[in-house]
Order: sequence, then C-alpha cells, then structure tokens
Amino acid sequence: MMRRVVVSKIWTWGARAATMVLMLGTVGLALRPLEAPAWAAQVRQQPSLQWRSVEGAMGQGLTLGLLGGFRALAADLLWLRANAGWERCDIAGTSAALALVAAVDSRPIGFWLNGARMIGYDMPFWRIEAAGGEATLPTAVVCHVTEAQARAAIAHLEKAFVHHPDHPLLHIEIANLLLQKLDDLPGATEHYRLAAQQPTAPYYAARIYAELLRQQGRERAAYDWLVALHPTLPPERENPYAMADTVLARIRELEEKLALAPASRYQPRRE
Amino acid sequence: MNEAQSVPLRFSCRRVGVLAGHAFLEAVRQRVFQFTTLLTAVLVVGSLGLRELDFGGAELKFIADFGQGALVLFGSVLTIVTTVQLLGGELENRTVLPVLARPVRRSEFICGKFLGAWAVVLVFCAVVTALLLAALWVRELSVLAGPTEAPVLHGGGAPYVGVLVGGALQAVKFGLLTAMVLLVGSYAQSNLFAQSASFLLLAICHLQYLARDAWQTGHGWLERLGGGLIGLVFPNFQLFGGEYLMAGADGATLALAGRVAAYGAVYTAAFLALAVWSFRQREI
Amino acid sequence: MAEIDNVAASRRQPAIEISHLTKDYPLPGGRQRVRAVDDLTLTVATGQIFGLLGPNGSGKSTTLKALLGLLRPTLGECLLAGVPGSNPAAHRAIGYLPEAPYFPRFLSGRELLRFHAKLCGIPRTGREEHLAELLTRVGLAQAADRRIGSYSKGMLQRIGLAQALVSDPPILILDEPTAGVDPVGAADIATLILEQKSRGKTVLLCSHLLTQIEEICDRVAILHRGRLLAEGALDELLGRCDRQALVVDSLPAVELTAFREWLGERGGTLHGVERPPARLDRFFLQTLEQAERVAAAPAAVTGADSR
Repeated sequence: MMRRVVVSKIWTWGARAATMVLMLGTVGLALRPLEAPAWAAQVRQQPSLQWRSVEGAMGQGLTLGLLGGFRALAADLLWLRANAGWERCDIAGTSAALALVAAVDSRPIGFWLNGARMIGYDMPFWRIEAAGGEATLPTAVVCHVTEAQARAAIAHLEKAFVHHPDHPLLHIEIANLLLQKLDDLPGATEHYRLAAQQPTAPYYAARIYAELLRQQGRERAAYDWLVALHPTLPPERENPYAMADTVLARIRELEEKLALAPASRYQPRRE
Repeated sequence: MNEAQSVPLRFSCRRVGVLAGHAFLEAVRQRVFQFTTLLTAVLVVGSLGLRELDFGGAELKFIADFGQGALVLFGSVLTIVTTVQLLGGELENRTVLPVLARPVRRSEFICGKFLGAWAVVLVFCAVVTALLLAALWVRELSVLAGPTEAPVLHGGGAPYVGVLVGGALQAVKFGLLTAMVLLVGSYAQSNLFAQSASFLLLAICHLQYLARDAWQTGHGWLERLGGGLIGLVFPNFQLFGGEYLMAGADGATLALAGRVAAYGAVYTAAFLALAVWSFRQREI
Repeated sequence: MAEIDNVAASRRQPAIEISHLTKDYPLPGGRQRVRAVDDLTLTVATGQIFGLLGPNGSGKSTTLKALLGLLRPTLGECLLAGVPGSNPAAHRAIGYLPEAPYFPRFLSGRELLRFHAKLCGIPRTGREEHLAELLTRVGLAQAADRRIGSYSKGMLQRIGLAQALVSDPPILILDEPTAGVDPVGAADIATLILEQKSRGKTVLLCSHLLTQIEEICDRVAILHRGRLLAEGALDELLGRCDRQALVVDSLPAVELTAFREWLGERGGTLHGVERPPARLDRFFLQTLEQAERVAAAPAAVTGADSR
C-alpha cells in the first residue's frame, strides 16, 4: 500500500513535470526562428556572451554582472577599475581591465579610444620610468619601448574594427599613433583619408589629411582635395568647427605655391 | 436545476479585470513596491552625480547603463516578490477562499493575478524609464551645448530611443517572469519556496544561452542533451537586454526588438497556460 | 407556467446533495493517508437550515470545501442544486462564509463588498444602495469605510456574512459563523440566519456551539472522525416529538402528587420534575436589554418634567 502511494505520487508529479517540459520545449522549438536573428545580433555585438572571451573576468567579481544581464554596467565598472589602475600606473592591472572592458562591452567607442591612449601614450612612459627614467636608459631602449607600446595600441584599435567597421575615430587614433610614435607619415596619411571619407567624420579629419599630403610634398593632391572639400562645408557663422574660411585660406596658399593661373583658380560659391 | 446555474460559466474578461484591479490595488499598497520604486528613482537621479568623473559624452552612456541596470535588478526583485505575495500570500492567509467560492474560474483568478502584478511592474518601469530619460536630457543639455565638431565625438548623444525600447523590452521580460512565478506559486506550499525557486529560475534563464552553447559544442551526450533541454525549455533572458539597441534607432534594430517582444509574449502565454493548468489541480 | 414549473422543480430538488463523499489526505513522506471524510451521504432540502456538528477535526470544513470544489473528493460527489460543486457555475447560487475569515486588510468593509459584488456581476445601477442596506443589516454601517485591518473579530464575522449575502444567493454555507463573537453578536447573527430561512433560503451551518444549532436548525448531522454518526430532524434526534415541557410555578409536594395522579387517570406519565435551566446567554441578553431600557428612560422622564 505504501509503495503504491509513493509510486502513485511519483507518477503524478512525474507526469506533470513531463507535460510542462514537453509543452515548453515545443514552444521553445517553435520560437527558434523568431529568436535566432535577434540572438545573432546580440552575440555579434557582445563578445562577452561567448564564454571563453571573459573567462578572465570570472573571479574578479564580475560573474553576477555578466550573468545577470548587467553587461553594460559591468563594463562601466570595469572601466572605472581601468582608470583606477591608470592612476596607480599599474600596467598589468590596467591592461587586464582594458582587455576585459572590450570583451564585455565592445559598443562604446570611447573605451577603445581611451584604452589605446593609455596603452600607446601612458604605458611607455610608465615602463621607462620604472626602468630608471629616460635619462638613464639608452635611446634605443626608449625607442623600442615606445614603438612596442604604439604597436600594441594599434593592435588594440584594429580589434575594434570588427565591431565598428570604418569608424572615423578609430582611423584617426591609429593615424595619430603612427604619426607621433612611429614616424609613419604615409601610414598616418592613409588613415586620415579613410577617416575623412566617412560621413560621420569630424571636420578636422579632412583638413589634417590635406596637411599631411602637403607635408609629403603632394601639394597638388592636397589642393584638389581641399577644392572638393570646401563646397561641402557649412559657412563659418553656422558652424565654426567646419572652419570653411580657414580651408579657403589654405586653398589660396596652395594656389600661390602651385602658381596656378587666375582663371583656373577655385571660385567659391556665392552665399 | 436553477436556470442561472444551468448556463455554463464562460471565461469573462470583466471578472479578470475586477480581479486584476484588486490585485493591483493590493500590490501598490505593499511597502516593497514603494521602497523599490523610491530606491531605484534615487539611484537613477543620483547617477547625475557621475558628472564628477568627467567622462564627457561617454557620461551619457554611463547614466543610461546605470539606470538600465537599476531597472533590471530592482524590477526583477519587485516582480518576484510582488507576484509571490499576491498569490502565495492569498493562499497562506486563506483570503482566496471567499473569492474562489464565487462564480470565478480558476483561470480567471490566475489571469487576474498576472495582469495585476504585471501592471504594478509596468508602473515601475514607466516611472524609472521616465526618470532616466529626464536625467539624460538634463545632462545632455550641458554636455552637448552648442554646435558640435561631430556628434560621433560625443557618442552620438543620449540614446533616448534605445532607453525607451530597452525599458519596453524589460517590461515584456518582467511580464514573462510574472507568468513563471505564477507557475511556481501555483503549486508551492510556502512563500519562501516560491521566492527561492523563482530567483533560481531567473538565474537559469539568464544562463540559458550557455546551455545552448553546450548543446552545440558540448563534449558528452549527457552534457549536450541537458544543454539542449534547458536551452529549449527555458526562455533566454539575455535576449531582452536592450543595450544593443541603445546605439541606434534604425528600422532593423526596432524590427529585432519586435521579434524579441513577440518571443516574450508567446513564452508568457505558455507559462500562464501552465500556471492555470497547475492551479486547477491545486487543493485549497 | 414554465416558470412556475421551474420554481416548483427547483423547490423539489435538494439544494445540497452529498453522495458517498470520501476524502483522504496523504501524510508527509507518502507513507500513510488520513481519511478526513468517510463515505458521507447527506441531503439538504430547499428552505431548510441544516446544522453540521462535530468536534474539531471531524471533517466539517473538509466537507464544505469538497462541496465548494476547493478540493477534489477521493470518492463521491457533491451537488449544489443539481450542479457539481467543482463547476464554478454552481457558485452563482451560493454565498460562503469561511471559518475565521481573513479578508484583505487594506480594503474597507464597503470596498470588500463592492469587490465581491462586481465578481458576482451585480450591475452598477443600485449596487451602492444594496451594499449600504447590507452593511446596515449586519450592523456595520458606522464602520463601513474603516479598513478591515482595524476590525474586531466580531466585525470580521459580520462583514464575512455580508459578503456571503451580497448576491442574495439561494444557498448559504456558513462555517462557524459565530466563532469568537460575543453573545449579542451571536444572537444577531442567529436572527439574520432565521430571516434568510423565512425568505426561502437554504442554510448549511457548521458549528460546534450546540446551543445555537439547537435554536435555529431544522435538521442536523453529527460527524466524528469523518463518519456520519447521526442525521435527522432535531426533534426526532432528541426524541421530543411525543413529549412536552410545561413551565409552572413551583408546586408543593401534595399538589405535585395530585397532578401526577390526574395525569395517570388520563393515560399520561410525569417523566420528571426539575427546575427549568436558566440559560446564561438568555440571562445575559435580558440583563443588557434591561440596562439599555434604563439608560433610555431618564431622557423620557426629563422630557416629562420639563413640560
């Protein structure tokens, strides 16, 4: 009798559980076509959903944040941790935090840019100071450290292109690193060109591209670029950042440099 | 047989509305709703203090993320506690007896509880989202004052549409969570068990995507089978994170949000149907 | 004519039918089961007040819950005016007062009745007047807008009775309606129940207050450990059909003997001579009534004097 009661109870509960699992499983299967595109979009933009990429975060107090759906907030808090490491000149801690931030939330462009700046501009200084200072180290060592960090920063930025294809600020940041740390003028010029071609590029990208062309002795290319640029700029009084008057002044300088005939010179549109 | 009794009792939206209104009134008078809403509101408004960190345009993202995080965390707690209290409390206190002795179907009772509990959480979501939008607007006025070099330099401004859509998706998720908690409460014998089981379900649903990965990449057949089963049975709560919509308001992302909302609605209906079925078996 | 036939048919049909009701509860661990109700068969005719008696744990509340479809019988059937109690449609005909009723503390008495009235589908027109009348009838007109959380035990029973009456149902099921109520309140509730009977309602009453059952019930059933021990009309059960009690002034022994002989000559038997029991609850009520009369009297005297 007792066994019959127990078996009967198990059967009742088992049947109920099985019914629920069957029904929910069927619903889950039927909803896969609806869910799949949305999930794919999520995974593409959030590498933290791929477990392996954030294994390093586990044990750093981020488990709850990542698993609880607070990825963006977790990334913000990681960013604060990276800044705290930056204040202490902690290379290892800052580097680890920057890598995790990018893995947890790749959307904010500011994380990539500022992270690259820490890697490319601040960390070489920390390493040199930790090794005794620029005055005591051989020049070759200083250059090596500077270049190594610059390349590390560029590699960091290039990972961002996966999530932000052709973002102008990434190109500009790479260009600045190439220019200031690696003395790669042609490389920097190319990246400024790529930046300037994007519709959301800041106004100065186009101006700096022209200036870099000029520095390479390619005045004609610079002139053609500025002549094509100027008509697209809003008047100075509408947006001082566009600096339309400054661009026109540069055009005139190049016309003088190139000794262009008056008839072939650029005529700006009348306002 | 009395004539009135001989007419079958059809499901009545009117009765569901009466029960839902009653549940809503009970829930908003609970301290947990008032405290949670106030705390979340304080956190959202307090995020304006992030200006001390001087992130520039990224500060707007911080405010939005902070607000969304508070909405998700406290909204989940509020949903579980309120729903357990509305159903489990009524069963424990036996205030359910006179109600079920009325011409009220058990399905109407459960649907009324669902609508009442979800209405409370919707109010919470609306209040917090409105405060968050206001906080973003206030901060954006100072961060992006005047003509800009390029909006992209400031992260594209405050993600208003993303916050709105994110809040709406969280509201859908909380509706789904309400239905799941009702299912647990329909057979739980104590409020403590119902709350514990509900928080466990919440965690499982947030981890569901790992089970799906195990189904695809797992090593043993048991791991793959278990992963596949969990991946099918439990909804994926990570899907409702509206963060990926925060950046843009284009048609494609809004269409994705619509898919997610439909996904949530169907799962909600399924859990609600199971809650009704389970409650009908329950002896009061 | 069809309506008359329906009414007549509904009057002939029992209001409540319980057939071979058995309910087992499993004990924790699943090893044993406890039988709360064992093969109970009862019928309550329309227009009766039926008392269900029994000590604590005798199965009274379980029987009521099975009747209302709140739990599933292990065996047997329960019908309310011919409709299974588990069918929510059957609940159109009933008003139920649970034992030690709990109601949402945040509602006022009026709001509670309004909620139940809406559930029963009482139309908005005239609803508020109906609720006000009901509150007056149960003596809660003054406290109607106070929160139920502030009600005393007696007030809770009254509001519970009011919610049972809100849809004016033909069948009332009352579980311990006077539990925790003072004698005055209990008397009021008894009066209310009798009033319902005079209006043709059927009342199924659960109690272990035997005095009250004896005063108002037409038929009773006695349960013990889930089994029906006795059931029938009160007079039949108490064997009082063929006897009378006369209350006279005290007689001296000689006159008592003469009276006995007088009865004997007419074929009767004097079974016993005893002082009629002075019921404490009656004495209590009479004392209170008298005190209220005295309190009201000085006002009348003052009025006469002033003239």
